[in-house]
Amino acid sequence: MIKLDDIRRHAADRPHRSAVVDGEKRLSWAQFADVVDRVTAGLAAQLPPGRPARAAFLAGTGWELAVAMAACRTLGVSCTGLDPDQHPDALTHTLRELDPVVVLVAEEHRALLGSCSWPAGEEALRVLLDGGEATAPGESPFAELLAAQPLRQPPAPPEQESFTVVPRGAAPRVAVRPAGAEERELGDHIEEFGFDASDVQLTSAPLWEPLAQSVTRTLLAVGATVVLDRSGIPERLCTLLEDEGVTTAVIAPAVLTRLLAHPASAGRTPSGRLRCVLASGRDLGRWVVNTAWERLGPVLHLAYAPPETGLAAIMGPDESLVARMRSGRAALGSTLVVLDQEDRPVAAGTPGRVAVAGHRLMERYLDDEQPFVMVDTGRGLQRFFVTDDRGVLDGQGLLSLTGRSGGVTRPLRDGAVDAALFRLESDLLNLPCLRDTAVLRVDLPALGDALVVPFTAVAVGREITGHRALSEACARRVPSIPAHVIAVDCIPYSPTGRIRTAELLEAVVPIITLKLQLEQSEHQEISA
Amino acid sequence: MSDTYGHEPFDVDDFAYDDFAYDEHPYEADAGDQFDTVGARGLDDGFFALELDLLELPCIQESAIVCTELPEVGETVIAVYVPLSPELEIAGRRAVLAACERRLPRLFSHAVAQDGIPRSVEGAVREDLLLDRVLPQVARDLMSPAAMSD
Repeated sequence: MIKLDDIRRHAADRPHRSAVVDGEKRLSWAQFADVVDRVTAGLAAQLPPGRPARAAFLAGTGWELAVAMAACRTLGVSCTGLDPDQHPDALTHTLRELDPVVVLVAEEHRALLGSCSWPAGEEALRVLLDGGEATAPGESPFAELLAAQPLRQPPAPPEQESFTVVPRGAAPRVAVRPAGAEERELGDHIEEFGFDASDVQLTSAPLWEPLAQSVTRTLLAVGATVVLDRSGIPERLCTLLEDEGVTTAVIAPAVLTRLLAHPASAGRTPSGRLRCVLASGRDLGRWVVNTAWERLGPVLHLAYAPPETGLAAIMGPDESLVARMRSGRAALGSTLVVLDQEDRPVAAGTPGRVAVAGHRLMERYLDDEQPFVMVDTGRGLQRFFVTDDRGVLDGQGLLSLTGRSGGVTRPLRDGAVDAALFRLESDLLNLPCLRDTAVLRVDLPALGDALVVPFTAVAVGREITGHRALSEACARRVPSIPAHVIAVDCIPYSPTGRIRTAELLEAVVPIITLKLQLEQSEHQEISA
Repeated sequence: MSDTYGHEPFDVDDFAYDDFAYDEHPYEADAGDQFDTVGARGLDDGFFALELDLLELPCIQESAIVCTELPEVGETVIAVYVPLSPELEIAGRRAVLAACERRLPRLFSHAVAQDGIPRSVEGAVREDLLLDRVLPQVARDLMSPAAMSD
């Protein structure tokens, strides 16, 4: 995020213009400067003894996070985003590598953070966002930091290197970027996309995602308004696009797909204000590109941005209509090259390993590995990072990704459970006491990893026998996964015979949850 | 399964050389043409070419492919897609299966429609979660006439 000095400068220029909007919370630049000032003071007073080197955050997005990140930046503390959806082992691995002394944690991820341990973890300060209340030593609610007296003179800490987590299964790596890299990146983004103070930026992706964070930082640095969206709900995004007069946006690919698929965006006519939507292009398909053009206008920029390289390639809205998916041209400040097995550049049109150079490149991994190759592309030797991707660079500089170096990966499965599920389906087909049934495996906050088994009884009044037969079949075949059996009037099917899982779950999960709550309260009453 | 799969290691770097000599083909420099050479060369290149083909399909909303061992079936490519509408589910299925047939002709492929595909924030498919969701449907399909027509 940006420093207090920069925020104060914008506050002096445009004190009443919105700086950060998060739902009902709207901070003008003057208010943003004030809260960052206070939180910086509060954080400085509570930091553990000794020079704090690193902070991390386990939160999605929100105004409190933006303020706390700006406070860290002001104090010269690097603030690294952690993906809360990763496996707890992977999260622990990252925390051990980073060893942060401050962790900004959202209320919903407190339990997850509590399950992780790292060397500085015992003494680390945990800043509780989203109204969390302190229950243990070392915890400090955000409101407590906010109550501090503003600083008279902001500190002038030395520039620090920054970190980006690179997802790698159970053992993520941490890429180290040199001091000053963020400023250079800022300049490139402004030149590439023409961001300025009149922009209104919508960020509908968590701030731990490197692309979302760097673009949001750039927009704040130029004095634009940043609208943070936590929900990813299509109707809400459509409302924000209209009501806030959004001009630029970073949207997570899955959220963008949902937005374009939703009827709320179908009736929307491109307003002309929206001019740039950035999304990671690796997994977006033709339908998204075509529909984005139709519903949002010529705005969708598809980014290729490995964590180690930052924004390496970009595909503009016009060319993306005619180029293959997963294509792009080198972003400003990046050089792309395709290498053979001996790290030599190949001829145009020849596939090979994709390598990226430029001043946004990481310096090294945190474990000190420097996986670079020196390549002469005709402008002297340059340091290139060889990505995991394979691709083809044509004679006009268009890069198309064609595969991955590691080949096809197969997800690790519990073969016994999969086989048991197959047998369970076979068993259920032969049950004469059911008219129809469906087995759905879900992983929901209310139920955990569970089977939901709706069924239609063979006749009215035969629900109990059906329930008993199904429960026994599930317990026999898949005893390791709890099964929730429930009678329904009918099971909805698509034209190909697919069970409409979303529709079915929408109908049965609230009933199952309610039943579980009732059972729980009964148990509590009995034990009391 | 392709001719070479399981018999010799595949090197993506050379996939364009053998069957598609540079000098003889004026369109070699076009990246699009390179994908057309990969269908029968190996699981890896066929898999990635299939991934790209599915991304190019305008008749489905989104797609994902996962390679896994199915009980009693063996190695299978499960192609999951989100249809544009319920009416277009069958058309989407045909297109997905045609792409599978073209790119991985010797591997058993199964197409499954879903309401959505679980993805990470960056857009990558959460394969494990996806398989958890679709396996009961796949098991059901394999016992039904719809699957027999695959």
